[in-house]
Amino acid sequence: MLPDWPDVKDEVVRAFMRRLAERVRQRSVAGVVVAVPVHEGHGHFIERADGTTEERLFERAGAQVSIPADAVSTESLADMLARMEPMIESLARSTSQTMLRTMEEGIRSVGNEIDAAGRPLTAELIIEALDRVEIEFDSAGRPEWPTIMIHPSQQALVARELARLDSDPELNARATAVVERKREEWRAREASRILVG
Amino acid sequence: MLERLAEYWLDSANERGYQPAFVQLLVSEGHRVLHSTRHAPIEFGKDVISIAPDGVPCAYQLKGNPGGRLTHSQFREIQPQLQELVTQAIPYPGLPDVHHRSYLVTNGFVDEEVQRAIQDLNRAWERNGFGAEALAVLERGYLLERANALGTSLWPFGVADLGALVDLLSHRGNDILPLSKMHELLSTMYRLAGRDPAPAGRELERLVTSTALLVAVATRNFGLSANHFAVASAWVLFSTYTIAACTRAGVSSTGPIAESLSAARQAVFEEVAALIDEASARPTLVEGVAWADTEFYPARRALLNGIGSAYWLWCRRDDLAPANLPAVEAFLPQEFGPRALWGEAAMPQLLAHYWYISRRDASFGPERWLAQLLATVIRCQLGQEDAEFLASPYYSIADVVRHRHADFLGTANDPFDAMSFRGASYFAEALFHLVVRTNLKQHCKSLWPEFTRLNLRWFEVAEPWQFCTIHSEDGLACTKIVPPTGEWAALQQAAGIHDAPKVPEILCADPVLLLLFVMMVPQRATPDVVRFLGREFSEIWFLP
Repeated sequence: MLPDWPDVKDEVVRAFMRRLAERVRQRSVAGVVVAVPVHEGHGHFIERADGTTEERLFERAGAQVSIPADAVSTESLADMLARMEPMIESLARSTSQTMLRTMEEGIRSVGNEIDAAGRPLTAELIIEALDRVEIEFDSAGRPEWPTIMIHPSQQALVARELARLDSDPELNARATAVVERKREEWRAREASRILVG
Repeated sequence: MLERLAEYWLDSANERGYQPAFVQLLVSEGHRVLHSTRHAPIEFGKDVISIAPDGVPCAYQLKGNPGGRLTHSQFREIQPQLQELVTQAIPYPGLPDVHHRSYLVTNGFVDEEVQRAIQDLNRAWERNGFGAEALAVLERGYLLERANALGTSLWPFGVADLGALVDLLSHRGNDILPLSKMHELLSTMYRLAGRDPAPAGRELERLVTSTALLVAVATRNFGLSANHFAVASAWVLFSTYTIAACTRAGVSSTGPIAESLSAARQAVFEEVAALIDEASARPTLVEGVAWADTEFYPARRALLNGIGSAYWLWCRRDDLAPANLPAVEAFLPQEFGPRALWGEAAMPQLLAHYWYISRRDASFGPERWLAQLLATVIRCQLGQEDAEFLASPYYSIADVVRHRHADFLGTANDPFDAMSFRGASYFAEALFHLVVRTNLKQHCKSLWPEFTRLNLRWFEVAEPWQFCTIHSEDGLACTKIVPPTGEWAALQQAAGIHDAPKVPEILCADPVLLLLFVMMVPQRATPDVVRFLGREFSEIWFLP
């Protein structure tokens, strides 16, 4: 073989993989959930509090990038990292798609989906969605709001509808009623954390 | 080339280093090995005692002459022991009432003068009725010939896949045994990776001997460094991977394989005893570069407490009374170190220590400590009171130190993201069940609300044989969410379960080996396994 410096190159690869994972997390749905490393096995199993169980196989997420061989002789490490950008985007996209598909399957399986029938997202739909999900509260009783995931093109619309939700007294009252009900549910949940007998 | 490796090993090992491999050679020749330790009361110059295939007892005195000769002056020093070896009966219950064969074993050459002296002694012994050639000599050439015939000739390594063996051979030997390298070696030997048909029958028997010799050769540098924990770890892994191979092939460990496992068990006992001897004789437990030891010292102490406790429990269980037992009891503290819980990987060590203390302390103090340990795990994993998250059992103390000091050691070496451990525990459920067994009901009631906020995790192998390995591609990463409301009676029922269906029966039949294995491979200490071990080692059982 030709002379090589594999140790330091391995360090470069490790640092890149770490940065890659971080970037994918930032740019995908993975960034909003806690990542749990899995060290062995072919799938995962969950037993929920209500006793229902689910088993799933791991899914592979991948992306590739082509770099011309002659680029290696003329470009810097920074250039190489720049060439990896499309791959990072692609990996983030496929990770998001896999996670969203899994979440969607889970939501449908418990009948929690809301079909807007093609209508744009409105404050009324947001209140309806909030009413469907479990909301946690901190020790001071403040709600820990769920994350709303939308397409970037919907950002302005959602901001407008959230503003309407704040300013419209009737909508605000409905939202407040939902939050109060959720707070009571949370209190009941917390009070039920008890070992009896 | 493999023959040269065996030669290289034999020419550097002391008698303690080559004894386990020698015993495995005897087993492969059909011997039943009764005794192979320096820590049991039977000695009388007899390091190893076996029964030959023809039913005659054999006694062996082992000497280490690596790369050299047994000289006449050395021979004079051991002559009284040889006298005992030949003339004193073997005090072992149930041995046939016939005169035993005696052997002097050395991994070196024997000086001509010594050979003549032995001939003279043999003539004298013959006149006194001890038979012709009362003392036979097994020297380097014999050991090498047997090692190559039974060991290296079966090693399935081409030059291309010698990597793990070479890595182990070139290791400095002063570190924790690289488990992943051992996994590579042992999986290759027993063809555990991939879909190859499992070796069985006579082929498996031959492979077991061959693998034992490989373990002895591969751990050469650890043996030379008197790194007892590493060598014990190697023999524990040899045992569990052998059990994996038997279980996978659907064969029970009987005959020569059972003898091999028994010999490996004695090797583990010997190394663990030597480790505890060394630790209890030292004025301090600092090792290596002293000023950099601060982060490792509590972990070392916890490990030694765990291993020492396992040794004590082993003696109690097998009704053994080695001479060092009082020293072991003096070494083991009756309370738990404040920095012992450095990660969830330490938990099997702490549990072994708890089981020891619980057996020695008739008060309920140890049980309250167990409840306190559970409270600490919950507090850490929920991040309460600024407690540091405990790393999952897949991470060693070295990983934890690299993470804690990433700012000093470089973030590229940081092996984990601490936030990934938030809200989850691999040991909380098992600890909770052990506390339920102690009937500390009020403790359980007060811990329950926070306990239910944790996600309970464990890894379940697909097939029991995979449990015996340190890594399995087949299996499920399991998560359990605890229902908020629990019932004491149901909890007692769950805590009372003490079978471990994913652990091979052969391994369940040896709880000491299982305990040592999960200390070395803590991710295998699943809730099932901890409940099983608790039943085996604890006398506390307040369940209806």
